This record gives sequence, structure tokens and C-alpha cells, in this order.
Amino acid sequence: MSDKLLKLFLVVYVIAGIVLGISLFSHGYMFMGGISLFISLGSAWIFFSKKTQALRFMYPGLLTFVLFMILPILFTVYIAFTNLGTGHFLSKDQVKSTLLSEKVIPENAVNMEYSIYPRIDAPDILVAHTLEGDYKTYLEEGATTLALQPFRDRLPDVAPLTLSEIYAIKDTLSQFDFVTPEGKKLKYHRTDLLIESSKRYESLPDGTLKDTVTGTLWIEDNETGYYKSGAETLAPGYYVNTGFKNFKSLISDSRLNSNFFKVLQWTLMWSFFSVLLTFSFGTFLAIVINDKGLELKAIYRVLFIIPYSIPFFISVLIFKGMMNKDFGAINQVLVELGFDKVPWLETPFWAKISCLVVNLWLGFPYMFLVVTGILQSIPASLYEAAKLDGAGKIATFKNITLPLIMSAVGPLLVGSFAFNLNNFVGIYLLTGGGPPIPGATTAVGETDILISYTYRLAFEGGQGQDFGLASSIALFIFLIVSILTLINFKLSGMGGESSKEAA
Amino acid sequence: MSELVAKGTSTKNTGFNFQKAQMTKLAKHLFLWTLLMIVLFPIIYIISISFNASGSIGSKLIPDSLTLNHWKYILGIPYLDAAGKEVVSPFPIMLWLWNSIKISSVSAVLMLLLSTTSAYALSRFRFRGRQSSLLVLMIIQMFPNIMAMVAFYFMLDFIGGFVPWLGTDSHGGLILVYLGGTPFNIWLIKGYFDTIPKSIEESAIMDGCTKFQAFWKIVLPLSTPILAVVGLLTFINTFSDFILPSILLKSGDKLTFAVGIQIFISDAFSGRWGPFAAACFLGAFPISAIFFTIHKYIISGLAMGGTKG
Repeated sequence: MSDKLLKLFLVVYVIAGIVLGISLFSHGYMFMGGISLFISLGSAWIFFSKKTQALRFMYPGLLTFVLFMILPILFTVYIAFTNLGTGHFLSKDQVKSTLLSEKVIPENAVNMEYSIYPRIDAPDILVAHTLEGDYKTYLEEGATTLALQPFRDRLPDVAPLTLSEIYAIKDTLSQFDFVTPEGKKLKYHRTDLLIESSKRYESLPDGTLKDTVTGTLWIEDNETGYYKSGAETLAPGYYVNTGFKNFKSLISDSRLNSNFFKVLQWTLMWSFFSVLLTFSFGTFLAIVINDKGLELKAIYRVLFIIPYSIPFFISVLIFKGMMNKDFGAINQVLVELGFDKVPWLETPFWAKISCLVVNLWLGFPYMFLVVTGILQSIPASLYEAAKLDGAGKIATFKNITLPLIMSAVGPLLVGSFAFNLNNFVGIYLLTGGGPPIPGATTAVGETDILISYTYRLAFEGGQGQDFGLASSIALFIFLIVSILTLINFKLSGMGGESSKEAA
Repeated sequence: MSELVAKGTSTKNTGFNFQKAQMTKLAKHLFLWTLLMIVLFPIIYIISISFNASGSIGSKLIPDSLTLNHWKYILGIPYLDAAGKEVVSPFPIMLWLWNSIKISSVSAVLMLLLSTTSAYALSRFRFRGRQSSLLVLMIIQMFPNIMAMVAFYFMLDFIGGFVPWLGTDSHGGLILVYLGGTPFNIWLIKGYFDTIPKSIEESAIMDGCTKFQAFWKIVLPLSTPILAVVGLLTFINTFSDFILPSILLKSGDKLTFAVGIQIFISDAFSGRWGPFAAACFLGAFPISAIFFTIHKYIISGLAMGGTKG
């Protein structure tokens, strides 16, 4: 019963996918249509072939993973090699058809008022009025060019269409070219006026656009994504593949590279010090509390992990207020203790310190928990043996506790490094990336890390959006995370199955 | 073990030294409580502010007079201000919270549906490409999806042209993006499935049960603990996400709590500090409660190299 329902659902699903694919094709989206067809035919094969039982179970999780993880990553790689962004939002075809639909009204354009007289079972008559006399034409459905002929008869004996009736058919009227005996082309302009107008640009066989008024030739430049005439460009531009331009400009463009390297350097420093601080403090605390004779251990362990249980965005926003230089709670306390106010979020140095302090608060409980777990798993016999050998407490710590902790936390520290590398909330909600780097040509600040820089380039607007550049920075993150993953595999000796820690 | 204790007990255990050890222990407690005061200060402070009648960013830790107005403000209950004028919050804070809860719950449920079957295949079937699938999942889950934020924006923009409720500025689209994050959960669940003996299913299959029925009716009910953990973990992570909803959602009534509250406080940092404090508590408390019910699992999950939200 439930199997039949499932089958029915699957059939509907596959058919829907095929229909979607075909409709995408017919809209001209070859790539997306291809993916859609591939997925639905693939699903059909997976679910109705006898050999694919494992794949059938893998399918649901795998599908969303491929569509919303793998595909976006590939797409990001693609965008990184384009100039997609402000001024280059559309494809070349879209830009071309926009430009070709532009109209121009010449000076001293001929214009004529008109009225339309409806007829039954025959094309309506349009009568255009000028000072020299009237013209008429029949609104033949499907025609594109209608010749205006001199008209000296009586006007037809019916009431002409009202303006609102004409407005209702304006789309049809717009399709006609009304040609006068002198050869002037008039177009629908208002519900009561035809006006001489022509296309602003015409497309030449080689793809060049010719300005019909000035005669300027606009040549497509597929390197910059513009129609160009000399140094002049025609707006809007279109997006094009720019090769390694984004990467080159990050590394060697003097306006960008110093800021980029600054961000890169701070990203690595921030991750490194975040890990160092949280790990040191967490370990210290774990060791202090793990004392056998200490009472209230369980209470300490709960209270100290409270910071970790709160969503980071909430804690960071609270700290942002508390670190306000003039009114914030932290400076209030400092002043009462007799210290000077600290410009927490305002100078480059203190803004960085603030980020690290807040991140220490957010992250130490995790290290505390992990190290506590390791300490509890060290067998007591090890310590007894050390005691028998006459080792003091300090020697025991140095020779047993510390090495055991370090051997177990390696992969975790790398994981924590990778997490902080992309700890957007810890930076952006606290400082917004600021304070701004003076003289920067893009939105970038002293505490920006790669991921917040990516975000600001793509979505903060202000100085325009540059999706291409943003994506190329994302690829740098990708590279760093890849290296970290590799290190982690080496450290944990994985490669095959290692699911013992799960659950 | 600790250096502090080491000083106190490493000499011979005379009566005097015993007293000294007690003193050391007391000092240790004192130290830990001082540390706790510092660590928990922001939380105590924010709770105090949420009831503080002045409730501005410069308010003292101990309020001069108490009020419920900040709470009324965020709950959308009208109240009279100092001048006797009726105040109703123009910000749909409760709606944002509801949006977050809705998006997070739906994501969690769908995530479970998607990842359990995959985990089952990886745990029970032996097929070509199994080892490499495991490896790929392991590697990919290291990469946070926010790296592809630009791509997500354009993908949803494109999808929205055909199916508006899955496009940008829609909750459906946002959920769709979260569903790409199956690998980590597949790993967690697979690990649990591995601990369930196969013999139970095998005898069921002998009795004429299909593989799917064995999975649905036997393995899943036995895995309730891990399903709860993965579901709640997904809920927490989704609730805590900031970057994706801030990119993908635009209209004020569709924002999630994270994005809404950030906009709410960034517009006027000082003036809204009181209601903000109340909202923080309201948003943090349930998540914190969920965290404490499953924190042992979160740590073991983290031990696999995942990330916390």
C-alpha cells in the first residue's frame, strides 16, 4: 500500500522533472534544462532499475547535497572568472535586445493625431489627421507595416474608439509601423498621437551595433563586456569571462592587493590567535576544575559552558553594545576601577583585540569541554605509576597530562581554525569589518576577514557590487580550507572509515 | 594534577599542611567564582537591562527602578510610556522569532528525511563507490556553504523566476539552501546505524519484509536518540545562521530573528537597548535549553571536525 503510494509519487516526480526540463529548454536555459532532465531521467533509472538499490537509498540526501552544495561551489568557480556585478548584470543577448529595442525620436519629428473607427467583420480603420489633410489605413491583424493613404471621404458613420479603448489595444498598435506617402515611419506614441521614430541601433551582420542617428559603430568588446566605440562604452554592460583577471587584480593591482593581503594576513592571525586563546584558557580551566578533591565540579562545568549555548549572533550583538566607548558597560566598569576608557571598536588595534576577546568568550567553553573529556579518559593507573616512580605533580603534568591532551586535540584545533576562518558573525556583527582602511577603493576594513570581505564586496552595495571579485576571494577561502582538510586527514590518519566517534 | 594543588600537597602531610591545602582549595573556589562573575557578566547584565526602567545603553548594572515595558515592547503588547502616551512596537519581533522557528523546524524535519536514508545505505549496503562516497562527504562537510553565497543568491533568483515561493526573499528558498548541508548529518546518523546489530533486520527480511520496510519500521524507531540530536542540532544551527538569511531575505516581515534583531539594534543602538536586551533573552533561552539537553552529542559531533552554530 505505502509502496504503491511511493511509486506513484516517484512517477509524478520524474514526469514533473521532465516537464520542467523541457520548459527550461524552451525558455533558452540550456544548462539548467540539461541538469533538470539529467536529474529526472537519472531518478527514473535509479528507482525503476533492479540494480540500484543502494543508490535508491542514497538518492534523497545526495540530491540536495549535489544541488545545493556541489553545484553552488561550481557556480562560484564560474562567477570568479567573470566580471558579474554592478554595470554587468545581464548576459550579452539580454543587453543586445535591450539596446535594439531603444527608440529615438528625431528633431522635427512628424506627428499625427489619430482616431480609430471600429468595423464589424473587417479591419478597423485608423484615420490620422494633419494640417495638410487626413490619412487612413486598415489595421490588418498580423501586419507590421501599414501604408497611410490620403483620405478625403467622409469619416465613417460610427463612433471612434475612446482613449481608454485604445489604451487597451496599445500593445497591438505598438507593433505597427505607419508609413506615410513620403516614406516616414510613424509609431504609436500615445493614445491619441503617432510619432515618427526609429530604432536607435541597428544590428550589422558582424554583431556590431550602428547608431542610426550619429552613425557611430559600437563594437562588442568581449574582454570588458561592453559595446565600445573607441574609449567610449555603451551602458549597460554585459558579463563576460574575464579569465584570471579577478585573481590577478587581487594579487598585483596596486589599489587592491595591499588591502587583500592585509585581509588575508588578519584572517590567518585571527584564526590562529582565536584557537590559541580559546584552547589555552579552556585547557587551563579544565585542569583547574578536574581536581579530584574539588567540590561543586558539576556546577562549574555547567556554568562555564553557558556562553557556548547562546547563539553567537546574540552574544556578539550584546558585546557590541557593551564595548561602546562612551556608554558601554565595560568602560563603565573600567572607569569605576580607576582605569581610562578603552576605544574598543574604534582604533584598528583595539578593534582587533575586541574581536579576539569576544571570540575567546564565545569559544573557550568548547575547548573546556573537549579537554575535560580527554582528562577524564586518562586512566588513573597512569598517575599511580608515575607516583610510584616518584614523579612530582608538575612532572606528571608535563610528562603525562599535557602530551596526552596534545595528541588528542590535533584535528580539533585544525577544525577550530577552519571554523574561525569563516566565523563571519564573530567579526561582522561586532565591528562590521571596520574601522575602514583609509584610501581603500572597495568596502574593506581593518578587521575584515576573507568571508566578510566577500560578503561586503557582493552584498553591501555602497561602492557597487562585484560578484566576480567576491567569488574569487571565496576561492581563496576554498583553497585554505582544502589545505586544512588535508592536514586534518594526515593528523587523524584517516582516509578510510572512521566513524567511531559518532554518536 | 593542577599546579595550584601541587604547591599545597607536594610536601609531607602534617596537620599544618592539611590546613594549607584547605586554604588553597578555598583560594581556588574564590578564583573560579571571580572568573565566573566575569564570564557570566554579559548575561546577568542583559537580564538586568531588560527589566531596567531607564534601559539605555549606559544604564547601571543594578537598576534604580524596574519595568516590564521592554518585554511588552518586544511581545507587541501596548503600554503607556513616561509621558502617558500609548506605545506599540512597530517592529514585528515576535514574527521574526516565529519565522526563525518555522524555518528551523521545517529544515530540521526535511534534513532528517533526507539524511537518514543515505546514512542507511552507507551503513548497510556494500556497493561500488561506497568508500569514496564516505570520503567525499567527509571532505565536503569541512567547507561551509556560506563560501558559495554569491552562487546561492543567483540560483534562488533564477528559481524564483519560475517558482516564486522557492526564490529569493522566500522562506522556501532559504530552506532549500540549508538542505544542501546533509553530509555532516549523514555521517552522524551513519555512525549510529553502525552500532545497531544487523541481525534484527535480517530476520525481518527473512520474514518477507522489504529493505525499505526494515529501514522504516525497525532501524528508524531504534535510532530515536540520534534522530533527536540531529534534528535539534539542525534546528540550532539554522536558528543561529545570520549570513544566508541576510543575503536571501529582503522584506521586513520575512526576516529571521537573527537578521531582524541585528537591523533593529543597528538602526539605533542606544535607544532600543532595553527591548533589545529582552529580545536577546527571549531568543537565547530556548536555544540554550536545547543545547544543554544535547550538549554531549554536540561535542562528539564537533570531535569529528564539524562546526557549531
